[in-house]
Amino acid sequence: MNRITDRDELLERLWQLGERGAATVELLRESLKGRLSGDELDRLQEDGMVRRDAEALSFTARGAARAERLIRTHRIGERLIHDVLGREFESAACEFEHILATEIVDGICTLLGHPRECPHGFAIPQGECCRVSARWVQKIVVPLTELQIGQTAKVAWVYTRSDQQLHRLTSLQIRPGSIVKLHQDYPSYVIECDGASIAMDAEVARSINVWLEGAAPTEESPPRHARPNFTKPWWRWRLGGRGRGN
Amino acid sequence: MMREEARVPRLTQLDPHPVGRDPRFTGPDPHLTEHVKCIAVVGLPNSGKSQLCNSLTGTYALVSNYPQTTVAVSTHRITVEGKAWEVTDTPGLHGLFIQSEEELVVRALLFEHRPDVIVQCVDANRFRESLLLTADLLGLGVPLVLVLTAVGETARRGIQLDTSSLGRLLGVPVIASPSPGAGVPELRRLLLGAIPAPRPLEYGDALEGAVNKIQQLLPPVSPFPRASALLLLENDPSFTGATMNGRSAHVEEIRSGLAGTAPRMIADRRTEWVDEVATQVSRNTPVVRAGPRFSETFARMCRHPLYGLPLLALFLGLLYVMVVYVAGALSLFLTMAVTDPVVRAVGILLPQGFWKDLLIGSHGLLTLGLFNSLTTVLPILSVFFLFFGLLEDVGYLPNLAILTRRVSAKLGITGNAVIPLVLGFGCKTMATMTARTLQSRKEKIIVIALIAFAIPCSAQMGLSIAILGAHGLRYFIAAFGFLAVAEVGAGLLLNRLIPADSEGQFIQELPPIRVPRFAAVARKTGYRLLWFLREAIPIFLVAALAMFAIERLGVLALLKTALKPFITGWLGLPLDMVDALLLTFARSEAAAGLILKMSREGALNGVQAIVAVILITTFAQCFANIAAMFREVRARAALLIMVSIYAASLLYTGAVRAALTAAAGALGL
Repeated sequence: MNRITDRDELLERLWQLGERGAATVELLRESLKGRLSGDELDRLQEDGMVRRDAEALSFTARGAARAERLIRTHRIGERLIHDVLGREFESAACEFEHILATEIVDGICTLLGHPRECPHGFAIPQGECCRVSARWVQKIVVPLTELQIGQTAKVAWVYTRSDQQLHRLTSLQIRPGSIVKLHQDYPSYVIECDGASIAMDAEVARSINVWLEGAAPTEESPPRHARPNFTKPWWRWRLGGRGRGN
Repeated sequence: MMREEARVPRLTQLDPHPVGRDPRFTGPDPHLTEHVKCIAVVGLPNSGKSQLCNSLTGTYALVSNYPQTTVAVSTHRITVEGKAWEVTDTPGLHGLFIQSEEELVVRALLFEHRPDVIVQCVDANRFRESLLLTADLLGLGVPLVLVLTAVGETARRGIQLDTSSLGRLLGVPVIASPSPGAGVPELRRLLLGAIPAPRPLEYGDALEGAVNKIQQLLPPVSPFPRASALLLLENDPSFTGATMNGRSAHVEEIRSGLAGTAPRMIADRRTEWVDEVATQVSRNTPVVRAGPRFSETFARMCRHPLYGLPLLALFLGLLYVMVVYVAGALSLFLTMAVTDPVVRAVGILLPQGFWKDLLIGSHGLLTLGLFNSLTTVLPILSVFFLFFGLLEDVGYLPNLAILTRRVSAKLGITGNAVIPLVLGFGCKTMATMTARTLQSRKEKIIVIALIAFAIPCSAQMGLSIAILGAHGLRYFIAAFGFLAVAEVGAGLLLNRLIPADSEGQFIQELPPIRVPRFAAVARKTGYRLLWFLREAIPIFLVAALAMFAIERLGVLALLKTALKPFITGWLGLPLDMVDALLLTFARSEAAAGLILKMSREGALNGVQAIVAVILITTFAQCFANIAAMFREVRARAALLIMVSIYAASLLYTGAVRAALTAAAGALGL
């Protein structure tokens, strides 16, 4: 690992410590499990990124800006991998922030609808794109599993595990551009697509990503990601049909 | 089961990888010197192929409102203007790229026997999905005729399909069939003049180039070289080996020379074409409705955990009332009006002795054979089949499968295996054959074992309800509760014992809920009863004769002495149940008929009736189902399943009896 990523990693750690309270040298050392050598911290101070006041550590304006950008990219990356690709995000996203340019991150952020929290539930620092289009707070592309019952949406993309699955879904007309309507989400997902009712597992439903069209911009839209499926209490079992919520 | 057994001999079981050609399709016919032309009727699952074949040929094959009613190819001969044609009904097909084993059978039929005309049933409800198949069929260069089914339903939803412009676009004749059977005279007329369609679907320079190169690699006599080349390009795993003789490396090279992945490029081009055609042919006029359609609400309620279970209970309750009160009364009436007078007359006419015993003794040809089937079993089956046929026509069963999916997942049934399991309540044999669509071997074995074990098929269920109904509703609930426990327990056990393999993903098309057509249901019930009679009466008679013989020879008495501790001790049943147990080896209905008679005559108490019902449901295996099991899984596995089921059945029934005797007072039984 070269020096710049080591430094970036330290900045990210400091940001995370700051989110939980105050950052001190001791806490930083603990969180890095002994991988912290004194001169790395000194070098950050030399570069004018971090101020040290006895044990307490704080960002300079320059350091804070850089750390914010890193954290934002990392968490947007996690969201992308989690929401869109539906895969494990831990290993893939940790390299993300060292590669992507700000414009690309803003682009992904816009595509995802300016998410506010990473899959772990930590806040994602806002980018310029979020400030410009602050009224769009809802995600644009979501997995089918996040639709409301009775809601209609256009398929954005489908992640298929195999050619067979691609053929199966394509022949059922579940493909980019087709319109699907969610009828039921328990005990199985049931959607209507091209006149046919199709039942499927949550796993298949999660691989189908849809555009939320005509989603009214609302001020407060609590993140609905990682909603546990099938663990709903019985009093929330709804027949659906004319939509619920909203 | 019995009503399907009549069909089985007529089915042509096609090897998915046929070596030679089936002489039935191509060989010289002894009665006709000219070439018999073949028509293959293909289409998506549940698109009305069997319905069309029935109308076209005037014969009858089971039709239902759910996918996979037909799981094997069946052929009938018709005459159109003096010329003989063979009409072949096929299982559902989505496209030439194969998605399951019964589709493989259809593709094998098309490729090996090269029909002279292909008739595609196009379900207007799933127009685009059907067009994907049309795209593949047009590429074969075989004369093609499209029959649009369910156009009435789509029209009510505000979608109009322009048949004439569809025909012009595709260059093939198109017939609209707004109701089942309509358009058949026109189809017959068109068959005579059907010509190969112009090839409409070009895949673009890159793909066409690749297809051409692969075509040159194919053996010179390959059927449908273009379609074969496309399948090889798409990398259909079921197609590669047989035709290529080690030239697959070249294909791989051509495939990797493309700018994208071939399957996706081909799929994209096809969907583009489908969209083009569909937008030109269909017109949408939005139908304004106050709320969701009743059929949709009903379907949703059937699948819903909160509303679905009461609905299921309601249907079961209706079934109970129909069988116990309507069919039971009918059966009692027939017994009094027919059986009793005849038996009395024979008793008066014949002297005591051999002939009297042969006809009206306890194992008489008339009593145990003819009247058992006609006056005891038949009325119950009529009512049951009628009710069950209504549910089938409505399209209830697949929706029930969704409801029970969570439970079945616990039993190791994760994928599309729920449907065969639910279909087991109709006919075990057909359900076992449907299990061939499953990819996972583990699921296949679990499903086949569970179908054979504690699921009562429609005939068993009807008779069981009648037996238990003679004692009261709570006996019916108790017996079916015990059967459910047995089934769930067996599933849990098998799920633990059998190592996991590929986990099937659950994607299932659901049929639209339809208002049942009473004429069609009545016809279906009529045919089921006819098949039952044609097949069961001889078996009932032979079984009665065999029982009579072993009684005369003293074997029955020996058997009863030998089995006494088991029957009266372990199972707590009267010793005469040995007769019923022996009859299960012939037909479970014969045994059930005898038990029903015993139950009505007071020879069985309520607890004994429960034990007897559980015993015949789990122990009695019909021959057709055993044969189907041996076809679908390897002989060793099938044998193992059979032996385990016999052992489990006897153990479980005994355990239930012990539990019931211990708790009879507390349960009020």
